Amino acid sequence: MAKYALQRILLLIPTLIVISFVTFALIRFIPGDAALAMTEELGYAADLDELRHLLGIDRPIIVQYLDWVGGFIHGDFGSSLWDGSSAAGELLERLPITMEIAGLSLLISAVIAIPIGVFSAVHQDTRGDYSIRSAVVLFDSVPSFWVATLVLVIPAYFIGWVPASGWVSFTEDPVKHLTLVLLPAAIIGMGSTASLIRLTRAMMLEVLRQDYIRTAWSKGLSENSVMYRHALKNALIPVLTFFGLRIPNAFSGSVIMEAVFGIPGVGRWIIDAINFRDYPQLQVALLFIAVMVLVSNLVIDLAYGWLDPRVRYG
Amino acid sequence: MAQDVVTRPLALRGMDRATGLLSGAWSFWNTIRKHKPLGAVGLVIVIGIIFVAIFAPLIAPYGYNETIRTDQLAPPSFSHPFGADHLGRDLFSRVVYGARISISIGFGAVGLAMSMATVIGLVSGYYGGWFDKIVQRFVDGWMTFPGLIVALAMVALVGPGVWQLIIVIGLLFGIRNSRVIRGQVLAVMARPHIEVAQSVGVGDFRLITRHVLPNTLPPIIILATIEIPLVILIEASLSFLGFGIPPPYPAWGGMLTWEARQHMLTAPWLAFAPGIALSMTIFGWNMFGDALRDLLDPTLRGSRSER
Amino acid sequence: MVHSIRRFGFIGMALLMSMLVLAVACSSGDDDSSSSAASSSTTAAPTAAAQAAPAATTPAVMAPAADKPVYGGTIRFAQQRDNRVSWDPHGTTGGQSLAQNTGSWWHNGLMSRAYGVDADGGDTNSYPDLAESWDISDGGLTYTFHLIQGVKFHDKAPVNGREVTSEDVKWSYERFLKGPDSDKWQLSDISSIETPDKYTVVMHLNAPVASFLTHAGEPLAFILPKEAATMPPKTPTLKLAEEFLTPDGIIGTGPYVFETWEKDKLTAANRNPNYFKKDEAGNQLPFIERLEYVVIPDAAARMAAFTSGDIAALTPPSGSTKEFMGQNPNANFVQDLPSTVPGYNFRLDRDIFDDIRLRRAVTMAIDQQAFIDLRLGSKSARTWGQLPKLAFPEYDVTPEFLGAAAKWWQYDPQASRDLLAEAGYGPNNPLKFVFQASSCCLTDYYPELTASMLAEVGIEMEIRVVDHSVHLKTSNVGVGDYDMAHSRVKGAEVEDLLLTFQTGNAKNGSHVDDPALNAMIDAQHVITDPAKRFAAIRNIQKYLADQVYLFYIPDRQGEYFWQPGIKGFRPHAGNTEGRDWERAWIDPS
Repeated sequence: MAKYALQRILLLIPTLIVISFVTFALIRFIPGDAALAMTEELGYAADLDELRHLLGIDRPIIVQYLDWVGGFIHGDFGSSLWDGSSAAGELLERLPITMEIAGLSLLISAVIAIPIGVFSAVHQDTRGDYSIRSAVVLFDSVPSFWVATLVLVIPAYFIGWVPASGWVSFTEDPVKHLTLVLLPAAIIGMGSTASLIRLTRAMMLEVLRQDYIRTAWSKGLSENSVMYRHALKNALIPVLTFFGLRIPNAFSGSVIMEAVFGIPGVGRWIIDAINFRDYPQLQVALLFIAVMVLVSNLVIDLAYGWLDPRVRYG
Repeated sequence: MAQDVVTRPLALRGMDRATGLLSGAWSFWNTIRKHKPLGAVGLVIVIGIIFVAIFAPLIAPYGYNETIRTDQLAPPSFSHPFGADHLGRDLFSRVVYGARISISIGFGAVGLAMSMATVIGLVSGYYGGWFDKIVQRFVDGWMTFPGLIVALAMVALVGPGVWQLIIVIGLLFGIRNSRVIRGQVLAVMARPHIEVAQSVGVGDFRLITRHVLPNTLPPIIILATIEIPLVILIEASLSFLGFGIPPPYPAWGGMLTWEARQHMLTAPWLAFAPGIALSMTIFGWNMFGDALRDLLDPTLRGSRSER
Repeated sequence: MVHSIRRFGFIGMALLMSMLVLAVACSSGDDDSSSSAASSSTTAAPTAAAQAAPAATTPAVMAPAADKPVYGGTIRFAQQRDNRVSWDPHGTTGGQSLAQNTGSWWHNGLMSRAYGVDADGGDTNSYPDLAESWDISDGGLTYTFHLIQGVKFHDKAPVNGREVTSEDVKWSYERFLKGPDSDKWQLSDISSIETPDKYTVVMHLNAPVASFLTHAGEPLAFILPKEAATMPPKTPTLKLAEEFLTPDGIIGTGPYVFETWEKDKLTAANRNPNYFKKDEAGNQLPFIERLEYVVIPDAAARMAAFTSGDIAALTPPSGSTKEFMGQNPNANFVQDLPSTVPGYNFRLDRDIFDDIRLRRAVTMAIDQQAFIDLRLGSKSARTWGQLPKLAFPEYDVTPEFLGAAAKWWQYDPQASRDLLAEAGYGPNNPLKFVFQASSCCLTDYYPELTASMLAEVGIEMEIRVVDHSVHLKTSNVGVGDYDMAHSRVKGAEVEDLLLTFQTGNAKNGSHVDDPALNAMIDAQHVITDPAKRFAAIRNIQKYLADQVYLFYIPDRQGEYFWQPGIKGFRPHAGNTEGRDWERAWIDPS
């Protein structure tokens, strides 16, 4: 297990380097128009030369890159061009909010999708199964921002209800906080639900065909025992991978939901960074998100390796 | 006719091809209708949307920015089937023209992505070596970034607009898809007849164009049909956030911003039509793509990438 | 079967793609641009000088005098975006920002605009704030202000609640004039400031400027304690004095003491127990205990927040007023606040619009009634060239007065086409230009509507949407790749609008360089006799109407809604929200 873990961690390194290149390049290759916008329009610097100096892009590339990476060791990830605040500090304040919504969305989708997927597999090819599969495809095709719009418009129009606005943290007012995060999390989760239902169903079907299930049946074990103790447990292993794959989606979905519901998370911060041409801020956001995705994939891989021994030696 | 095919006149050969195509299309339609009825529905929807996109000026009764001041916020009626917005613009016409934007960006970006992916995948898979290793690490890194966020960042640099979006989204998917193409290239290369051809001394170019490329076509087509709805969704999301197609072009995503909700208590239909069009388009493509994938290569399951 | 699919797929795809490339090429041929409007959706009452006509549908707005004010409660406001840079009230660049709009909560100026429930919404005279009286002498060259004695700053380190003196006033004004504030030219005639004693401030002007008192009452130069900032605001970057980046550095004399700033979440302030003002009955102000600002970027969500009682006050977006009134039938509102002045600026420093014929062709192609129709539920009126009547009713002009210049302001598409043809444009050679708009407020400037009207005479207007801050920074000073943009000028004084046409003025976004106009503006600047000045400005109006440097679009008269339970409050023109709200109280019933 340790060797497997080490292997996977080492494999990360080249990817990390690539990620750092990509985000680094973002500031290096600002096209002329954007640079002009930053000097003339936003007043970051008196002219292009000063802007280049401010961003540090007037030095040789290698120096810039090493300096930038070296900053990480000191915890210096760059500062906002607007008010000089530490980009990392701002990000760390917002990250928990986005992660909370992302996590909640995965939880909601799991709670809804897994039972439905199991049901669909167990009752394969019945009318219930078909209608579920059709509904699933339908939900898969509906964009999250439209769902958010409908959720806001329809209750407002028919019963005059609008969701709460603003933001309170959990410690201040747990109840209001939960009502604020539930709706966006549910809408993001809806996007994952469809795929998860399909995946659970497919995995259950595959597992149900396995020999050891038939053995369990012939041993006379109860349906519950067979279903939930043996089948489901093994079927859920790929579901872990699924969650890992959905983490980037959760960030993307969060960008949209935060814009609609006004939640002060990472997504809104990215949009602000783009609007204000605050490239150092954008850099840090991209870097953090990519690292998050990498790390969570690593965790999933390790968990997978631990749960399913075949992976370690395969 | 027992004529030598080579000396058959060009026009007749063209007609042969056309009838061959048509009969191929007809048999394809029959297959899909029988075995994958949902896919057939999807195909009908897809063709419908493409038709609407191409013939938009003939279908739409009004221009997409034709403001009719007396029809402000008009409810759905005979003259305005989907209602009218706050400037009195017919929503039906705007949705119809919006199909143009979605389809052109969908096809444009996917076309670009496929071309890129094919070139990268081919070179990487065929020649291998250090080029392959470096490129694949780069692709790895690229794929860790969530798609929408990378698209946002790139649009931040190049600005909004139809061509900018095609290039940005095309780039985004192109690099990801090169992985799949490369895989297919490697699979084809492993086949025995390639080895034989190489040992006989067949040139690289000929080998690629005659043997490798045609065999990578099925995954290219499947990938394309799977990704078109993703591209349409990303474009809609970008427009919704304000970074996509600028007004007054009627991008479906852009029609669903807060302006659709500004009058939600008196004119809720503003939020319905573009969203329904968007969902239907994505639904149709998803269904068709699923069916196509199942028909062409049932083992290619679960390759739907993130959105 | 697989073969036929492959073949079909390959060739079919190729065919489809080429068809669609053609479709894309065709669709990008019909160009139409709109820009979006920039107007802050914060709850600040807009500024402009005008006596508004009494609103026929204003419900009972004045609180009954018999009610006794109740202390306590919290009021919340919603803002579209949080303060980006700092809270330095002397350094607000780029137009409206939260710092500028909220400055009157924690600061006072020498004077302020009207306040109190009886004062009219459009009253732009200056009233005492920190200065209890003032004298004008030397033919308008010297202004002597007498400060109220015993006013204390907030009890925060390092000021610790000491008394306000004339030194603070002098320091504040000088700091303001050194800083990058985009409105500082309004006070630029001050040549020197003296402080003969602790409570007297004497300002000497370069010339007997007629507008000085009005400008001094527009509290741009809030009075700050000397210790609050160790250095003047830096230019040209946005990095202003470090002290104003956190609430601790915001120390003033105002009714509320800044307590919290969680970026993008919450801004909060508490009642100042030592505020120097009392109301007519002798109660110490303010009444409301706590003030909060929350960030709600989405306009529809802000409207909903008002309806649900979450926030205290709101100005609904243009076009939504009728609906908003329907949703909130019990809310208090006024519709008589002077409008700030929205317009379309032409860039005279670029090739297209330095040709006067093209400017006139554009204005004749736009039907102003269309804008008025769109502002459902609001009061709106057309403009005849310059100085719109919703901002300055006394300067309202008639077509007869304008004479020949009136025809540029009439909707006449045929005349527009003729003029275009004369300038060399027509169906074979359409006039194309770029319009820059802010993403924030398409529903104030309706650029899409303009594009549609211009399309009818064959002009192709491309709309380029930029972010609000970018737009403010560009359109105000006239840099960037565009030929026309919308802008909004705050004008407490008529002169503020005129000066934007003067060569070299910081707000001259159109790059107007007209020596005759400069001379006329300079002349009226120093005329002290009101009647003579009025006549001089009328002449300028006529001239500007003929030159068509700018197109004012019909705005709506300023509106402000507030919750039914709030008493003793009435909004007024000017950035003096604090003065209005310090007298307000929440009725617990």
